[in-house]
This record gives sequence, C-alpha cells and structure tokens, in this order.
Amino acid sequence: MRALWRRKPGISAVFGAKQTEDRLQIGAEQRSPTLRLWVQGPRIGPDLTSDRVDFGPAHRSTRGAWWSRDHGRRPGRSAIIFAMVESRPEAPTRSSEDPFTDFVLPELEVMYRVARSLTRNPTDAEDLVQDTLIRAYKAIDRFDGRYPRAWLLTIMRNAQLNRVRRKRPELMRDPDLTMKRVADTSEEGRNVEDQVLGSVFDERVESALVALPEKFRTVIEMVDMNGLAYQEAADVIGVPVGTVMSRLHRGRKRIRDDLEAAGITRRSPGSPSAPRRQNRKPAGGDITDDRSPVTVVVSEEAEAKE
Amino acid sequence: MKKIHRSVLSRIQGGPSCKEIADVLQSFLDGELDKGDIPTVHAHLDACRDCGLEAETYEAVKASLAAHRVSVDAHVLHRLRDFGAQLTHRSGIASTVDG
Repeated sequence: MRALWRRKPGISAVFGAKQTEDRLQIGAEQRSPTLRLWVQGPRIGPDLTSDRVDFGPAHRSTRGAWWSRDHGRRPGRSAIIFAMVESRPEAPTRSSEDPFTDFVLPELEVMYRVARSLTRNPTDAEDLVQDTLIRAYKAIDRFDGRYPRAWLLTIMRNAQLNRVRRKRPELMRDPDLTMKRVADTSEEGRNVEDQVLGSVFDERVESALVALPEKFRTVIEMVDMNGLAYQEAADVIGVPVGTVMSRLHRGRKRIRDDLEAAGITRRSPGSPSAPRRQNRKPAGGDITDDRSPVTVVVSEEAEAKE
Repeated sequence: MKKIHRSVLSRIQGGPSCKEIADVLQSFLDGELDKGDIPTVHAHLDACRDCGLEAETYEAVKASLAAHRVSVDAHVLHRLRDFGAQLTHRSGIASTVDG
C-alpha cells in the first residue's frame, strides 16, 4: 500500500502564524486525528530548514490546533516560511513480535538503492544503510507498524544529514547541497551489455536525463529508478509530496520533449503537437495551490526559497 | 490527488479534455491517482489516439529509466542482511552514531 499524504477536502487550512523571540507558532484547523505540520524556510534553524518537522502534539484551542517550536533562528536573519499542513490516511497498525525483522529487513535493498543515490558511492552507501539500521533498531519500539519504508527513509535522511554535517560542515549552510552530486555517476552500474547494445531510445533518454537540472534528476532517480512512491521520495529528499510531483512530472516531460525533438516518440508523424500542452504553464512551481500556503515573514528582510 | 482535478474530471459533461487528462496522466501512470478517477482516464485513453500515444510514450520513458537502475552487488546486500540480523541478536549495542 502506498503511503501517500493526501489533503482531505475541507481540512487543514493554516490560519495563522506568530513568532515570538524564540518560538514559532503555527495554527491550523484540524479535522483529522493524524495531522502533521510541515514548515519550510531558509535559515530557520538546522532542524526546521527544508525538512518535514513533526511538531508533535498540538495544543487545542477553539479554532483548531496550534503547534509551537523553538525555531533556533539567529537574530537578524530572515526567512519566508511556507507552512503546509498535510494529513495522511490512516493505515492499520501492524503488530509483530519482531518488528525489526518483519518490517525493516525486507526494505534493505530499497534502502541500499536510495543510499546509493544519496551518497554517490557504494562504500558510503553501505555505511549509511548501517547507520540507518542502527537508528531504526534503537527506535523500533516507537514505530507504530504503519508505512515502514517511509519511516526508514526519514531516518536515512536524518542520518545522511548528520554524516554530511560531521564531515563537511560548510555544506549545511545550504541543505540542498547535501543532495548535490560530487560526480556524475550516471554510467555507474550499467552493465557492459547495456552500454554496447543500448537502443537509440534508451540512449536518448539517458542523455536527456543527464541534462536535467539536479533537482529534477534526483526525484526521477528516487521514483523511476529506485522505485519509491511519491511520498517515500518526499520523505527521503525532505520536500512536500507536491514538490516531488512537480519536479518528477516536469523532469519527465523534458525527457519526453527531447525525444520528440529527436523524432523518436510514439506520436504519429502527422498529428498535431498539442500546443495547449506545450504552452501550459508548469504547475505553480513547487508550492501547489491547494495547500493554502501561508507566508510568514519572520523579519522585515524577505528572501524567497527556490 | 488534487481535489480540483477530481471535481473537474467528474463534472465536465462528455468527459475531461485532453488538457485535463495531460494534467493527471503521469500520476495515473504512477498509480498515484485517486481511484475514482482511474476509470475516467482509462476511458479517455482508450478513445483518444493522441492521449493514448502520449501515455505510451511516458510508459516507454519510465521503462527506460527503470532499466537504468544501479545494479546492486549481492555481496553488499548479504553483508547488510547479516548486519541487520546481528542487531536483533544483541541485547545491547554500543552507540556508534550521534543520537
């Protein structure tokens, strides 16, 4: 069963935000018991930046729920915060006498593939999976049995951020750099037969993929190559699922357009090129309309994220 | 799936337009579309040649991308499985990572 964060109709409008000297408070209507708040903004603090933050239990008020959190922001720094509330459909809890063996170990191959995408070399990938397994083992008692892959990938993401922070602290100034490839390893792992006998179609897809911007390529790797669902990719990259959809669809469309330009799509030669589609604006950037983003200017100096 | 697409797909008389199908096509192919919309999209793809070809193109792109998966060394997986199995058999574990 795919773990998909889905906005239920009529739910989860962020209605307010307030900031005190050291705490950030977000208020949202809540009609679902499983509601999680997601906050993004540059330089908010190491644990809030570009990451899905579980604000934990909300303080109930007559309007809905308020979450508050120490934002750890240095005085004088600025941010625009996008607060989006996502609710997740309830999955049944699954019980097990040995949850680590039953829920974690089956995910090893996926974890390793994702770790390869995150670290770009096999040795670091293996270390990262081991880190993740240790953390998961320590936390297994708190795991409710729902969505094991998403849970593990969130752990892996945190483990990777920690590893990068320890090794190269300057990269933490911009969290997106933790995803940056050190070298283009698109050739890595392809066997010789593929390379020699690759069809025109495959080669064109490959070259179009390599030409994509980093962010598009990453989500395509996670979804199309590593086989993750949208939500799982969102959890490991640390962006909302709408962002995954947007980047994935736009990235694939560029590949598809490249194929068409090269004359090797399956579209029949005489058919119209659907100008409405090509002129269509990309879906609202990375913040999709139906999530009712609230822009909170935390200080006077405004900076846009992405 | 976006609510707006669900209401659009079910409301338009005669079925959704090709543009509306294009908006949801990739989600549909990824299996991430609301179940209620799936028959509508299926019906359109069956009836509309252009959209059907578009779907085939995306399917071919996805298949090609999937074929580019990094090959996983069986030895590595074996080591990781062993590592995982050892964790479950140990009563205590030294902390080797930051908390």
